Amino acid sequence: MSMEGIPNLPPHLQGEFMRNLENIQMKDSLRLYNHLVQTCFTPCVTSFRSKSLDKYETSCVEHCAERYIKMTQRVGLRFAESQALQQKRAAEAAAGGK
Amino acid sequence: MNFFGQKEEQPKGPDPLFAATTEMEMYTDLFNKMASTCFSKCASQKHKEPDLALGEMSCTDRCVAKYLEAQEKVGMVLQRANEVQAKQAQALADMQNALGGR
Repeated sequence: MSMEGIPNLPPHLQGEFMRNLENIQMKDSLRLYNHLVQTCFTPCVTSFRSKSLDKYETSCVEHCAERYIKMTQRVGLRFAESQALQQKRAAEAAAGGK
Repeated sequence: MNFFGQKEEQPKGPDPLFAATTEMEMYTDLFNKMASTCFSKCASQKHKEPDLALGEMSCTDRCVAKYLEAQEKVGMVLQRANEVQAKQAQALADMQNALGGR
């Protein structure tokens, strides 16, 4: 996930910032994994008569995970569009003020 | 966008690296919460298919737009509250200085 709203950092700090960014992204991947499991387990698995998932529960969980990923991608797209539009308006406002 | 969703101002006190890293964490958190919230509000919990339906996709677009607008409005409320608090703190400090100067 790349973001454009990063404040202007002096060059000697940018390397460290990129390392921090990698750390954040790694932590976020792991967090997403656990969150996704919980998000999909809750609606899909409702009975505990057996120790293993039946085929409906399995396909539900798999579909749920795929849908979540697809939705995340769409959210990212719309978010980026919104950010770009906001930056464009800010740039126009700044240019218009001269 | 700064912490409250307003236009970016020049960073003053805090260490710039910390500010940049924290801003990144803020965006990550915002994104995760938005995706999770819109998923629970827009996606049917039956999960019969691996794809999103057309209605679910439209719902997602609108959910994102509303979520970001809500974020902006909440940011403004917090900003105003901060200003009020800062004024009160300043008034208190002024009063204490005036009393202390006797």
